[in-house]
Amino acid sequence: MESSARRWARLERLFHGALDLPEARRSAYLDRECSEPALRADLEALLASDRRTTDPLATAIDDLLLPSGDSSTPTSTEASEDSVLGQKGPYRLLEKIGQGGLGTVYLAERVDGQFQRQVAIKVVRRGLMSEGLIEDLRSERQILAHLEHPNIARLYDGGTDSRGRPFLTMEYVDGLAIDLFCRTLPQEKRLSLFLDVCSAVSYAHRNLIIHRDIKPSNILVSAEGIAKLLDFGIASPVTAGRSIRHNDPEPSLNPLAGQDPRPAFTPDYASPEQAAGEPLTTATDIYSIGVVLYRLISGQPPYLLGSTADPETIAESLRTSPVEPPSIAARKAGQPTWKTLRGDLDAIVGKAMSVQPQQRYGSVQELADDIRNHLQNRPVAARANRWSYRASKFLRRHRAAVSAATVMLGALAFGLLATLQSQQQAQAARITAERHLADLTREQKRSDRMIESFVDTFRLADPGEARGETITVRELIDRSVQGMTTAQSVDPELSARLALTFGKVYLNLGSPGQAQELFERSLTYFEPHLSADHSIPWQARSLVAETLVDQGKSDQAVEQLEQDLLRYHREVGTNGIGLARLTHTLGVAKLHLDDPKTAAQLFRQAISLYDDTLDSRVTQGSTATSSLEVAESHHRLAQALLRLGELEDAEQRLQQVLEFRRHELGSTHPSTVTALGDLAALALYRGRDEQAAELYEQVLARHRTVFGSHHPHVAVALQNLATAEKHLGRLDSAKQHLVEAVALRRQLHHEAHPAVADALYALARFVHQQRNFDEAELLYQQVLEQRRLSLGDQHPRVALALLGLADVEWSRGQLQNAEQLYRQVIARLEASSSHRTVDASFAYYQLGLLLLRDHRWQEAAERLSTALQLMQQYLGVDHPTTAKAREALAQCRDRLSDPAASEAGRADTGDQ
Amino acid sequence: MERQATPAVSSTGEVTRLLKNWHAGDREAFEQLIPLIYDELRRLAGKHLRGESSALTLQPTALVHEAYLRLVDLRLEWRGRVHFFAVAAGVMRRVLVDLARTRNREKRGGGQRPQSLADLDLAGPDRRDRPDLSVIDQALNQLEARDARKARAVELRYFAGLTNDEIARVLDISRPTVERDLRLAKAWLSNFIAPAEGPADS
Repeated sequence: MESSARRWARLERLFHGALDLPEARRSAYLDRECSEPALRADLEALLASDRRTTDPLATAIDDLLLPSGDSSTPTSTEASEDSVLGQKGPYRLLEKIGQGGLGTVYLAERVDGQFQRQVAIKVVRRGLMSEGLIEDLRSERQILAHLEHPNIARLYDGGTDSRGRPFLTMEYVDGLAIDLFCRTLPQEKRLSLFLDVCSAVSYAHRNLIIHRDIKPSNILVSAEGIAKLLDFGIASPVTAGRSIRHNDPEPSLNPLAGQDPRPAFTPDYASPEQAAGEPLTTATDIYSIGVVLYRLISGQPPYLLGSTADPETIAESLRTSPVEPPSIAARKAGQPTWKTLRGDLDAIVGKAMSVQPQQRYGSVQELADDIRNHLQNRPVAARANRWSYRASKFLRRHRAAVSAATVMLGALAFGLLATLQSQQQAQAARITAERHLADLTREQKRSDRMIESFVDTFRLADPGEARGETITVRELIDRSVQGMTTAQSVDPELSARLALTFGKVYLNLGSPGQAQELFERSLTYFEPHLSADHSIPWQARSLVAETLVDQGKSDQAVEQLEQDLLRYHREVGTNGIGLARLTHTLGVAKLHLDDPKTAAQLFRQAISLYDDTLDSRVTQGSTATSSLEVAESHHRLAQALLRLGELEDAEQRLQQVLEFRRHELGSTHPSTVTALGDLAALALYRGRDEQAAELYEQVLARHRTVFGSHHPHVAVALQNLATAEKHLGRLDSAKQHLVEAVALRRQLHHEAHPAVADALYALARFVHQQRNFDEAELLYQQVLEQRRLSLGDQHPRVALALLGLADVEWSRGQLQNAEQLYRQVIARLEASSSHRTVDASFAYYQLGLLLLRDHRWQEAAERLSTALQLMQQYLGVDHPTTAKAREALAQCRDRLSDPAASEAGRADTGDQ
Repeated sequence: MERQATPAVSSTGEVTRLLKNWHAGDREAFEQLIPLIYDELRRLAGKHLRGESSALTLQPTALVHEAYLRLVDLRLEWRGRVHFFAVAAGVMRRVLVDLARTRNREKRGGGQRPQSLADLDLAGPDRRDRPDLSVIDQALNQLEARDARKARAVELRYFAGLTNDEIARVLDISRPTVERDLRLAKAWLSNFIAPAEGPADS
């Protein structure tokens, strides 16, 4: 037998191993590392306990030491004589020193003269005693009890006075509000004081506490110059990136009504999301200290909202009104130091006070680091490191070239429009041409000549020849490529560059084969003519690999890329744009090969390589890198992270990519919409249905403007939108969208296309859930027929259509029919070796439940056990359905009085 | 109650001396320390619970600090201070567990007081979320049998309010180790007291 010490050590190692991973990946980790069921069960119980927010030990101690209502004290008559300005426990209240939303703060001293010490005592305001406020004070005490930091006012203790009113005693800080204190200080001293504040806030964040009310009057500086952060009265713990509070914000709002579900806030320092009553993260504190910083360095407030306006108006104006940089505010106020604020400090404040939380500093620590950078004359992250900032810089520097391309494009697009078959194609052409013309311009110093040549190429294609007949973009480009071949003798280099460009056009038109040919053609010219470290041939190699990925030959792409990378290291070195592109493309191939972990690593490398080249290009004044490529790497990284379950990070990146593309490409550009769609999928995945629905509606609207209503993207968006709507209970509109999706699929594809059946299946499930059994049955049968037709009778998806029919029978109470169908489904799935899937788990589960009802315990237990195992693997141990399966299984085992029952059912001991 | 119940000055000197001796390696000093500290903590806690102090304190941490201020010469160097808390943590635990047991006896026996609805609720299903300290004590004993260091870290944290840095110093381990120990210990205790009911229903 394994010694208990060894077992404990393993448990400990696995526990921490799992905790180091995001929650979504823990179950896979345990699958891999822990094969022993008993140990696994213990681990899962521990992890579940770890997730709890209550601390039983602290609660038990509280319960013991908090004199509860029933222990009425013998001294109560005497105590009731206390006035508010009287005694609190062994303290004598001296004077009122503050008034907060929750309570009043008094200066007090010990009456027993034991220790010479003055304290601040906070009491719930008279007349406001309510369960909620007492709970607030209690939570403030619990929060403070865990915070020990030189720049946070300490909690000494707390209690209830003789009348049961709770109070806190805290360190008394005899000082000035930080903005007043700073008035006479030189700027460097102000910043160093501010850094102390950052350290306090950062400490609180590390302890998962959001302060939520940071403002100068809550930061006092003592005569010795020590800053102390006070008043955690509306602070809240943060879990999983969201704040939780007893009152979830709801749309009703009147802060004076006393019943307002929206937590208190101070308008002049509140973040936009706080004013809007949205869930808060630590980013809200970053915004607020940004405002404090603004005030400290400029002496001015960024804006004055007062407290008269209603929260809606405040939130709106915080989101829409631009804020003057602090340097401007200081200049207007006649401060001689305003010039020192320009640049770094303007940028730091601007980043901290970004309207979008994602655009603020990732942590208070980063903000503090940037201030230190500024103080030490190092480059500041707020200005230098952001790729979007660099990108806009880039565009500003190359405005001339870019606009030349745009003008050209306009002419080109209008010319084409007249002759194109459909507007949809025109859009696609415009977009593709736009992107590649821009690329062209960027990659080539002689951009004017390039554009001229491009026009020539089109002339060679002789649009005149097409006059009077309809010509497609595709034909136009095919002709251009032919013409190009003719022109090769004139200027081989130009011809190679054009081959590269047209290759990209083909790639985007979905013809990777033709693209590959052109890229390879360009390489045959570039290889002998350009030096080994020239970026263009390397780009061509990346593109060849990309065409391989697009043709479903990712393995081959990886092989090629690995050789290219070796060669690059040998011939060029360990940095440069070429390396960035190869690395990125290898990431894309890995992502296709279902290796998101390696892919993520590669994208990260690519991003940092791109960043390095952007840095060096800035100094060299060369123009080789497009920030759009960096954005693409960020986007791909986000997709990889999504697959890895690192949702926070993925979401943040997607937001950035979206923001950036909106700015650079416009909101209807397909790349922008793709990012939007990924964000929507993420929201759906995380159960934020409201947000998902909203995003999908945007996606849908934009796809329709770009592609028209007839495009597979539109169908996907419709189906996903319906899912979100279904969760939200908007059933009519969900159904309508599903019906639309089916109709669209039928128009887009031939009837036997699997996508048609999939859309039908989604509709069938929906109708079924609405309890329209007859309609559902009809639809499932259609699905079944179509799948048989397109996939063959043995295909597992045929079995799933049968599963739908079985479910309908079950719903109708035709249990014998249902049982028979479930058995068929299972037999089919097992025959095609598709029985280890999440879909199969439902078949086992349903059959198990059926048998359970019929008291056939033995087989029920077998089926349910299979189902449970699969569900734990695919749905996760936490999923509600998994829990139900576990319960049902425990019930069976109880009945069978299986000796294993007690162990498996251990989790259910609470139930009868 | 009467204020004179505070320990005499000699007691302050006594505790300080014992702490120093113990630190110097005198095991007996430790044995002598315990009752002194126990009495003081018990007195402070009892005073509080009888309502005589008008609820002086809610936190064992604060109780221990209060005892420290009363018992120990303030000029004691920090290492001695940490040792005091290290001892006091275990003692505080005993004090509180004893109190909890007494209270339970009073609740069960006697019967003078009519049961209120609140009492009934306490015995109901909610009970698992609000475990009694004596239950937690058993859990801690179990944890101690498996992993004494973790149980000790819990004691130091909850019953003496030491910071993680201080715990690290007392136990002579690194701070991250303390954090990990506490996290596992907390989950383990929490699970022991109220086993996780599989996945939460949310």
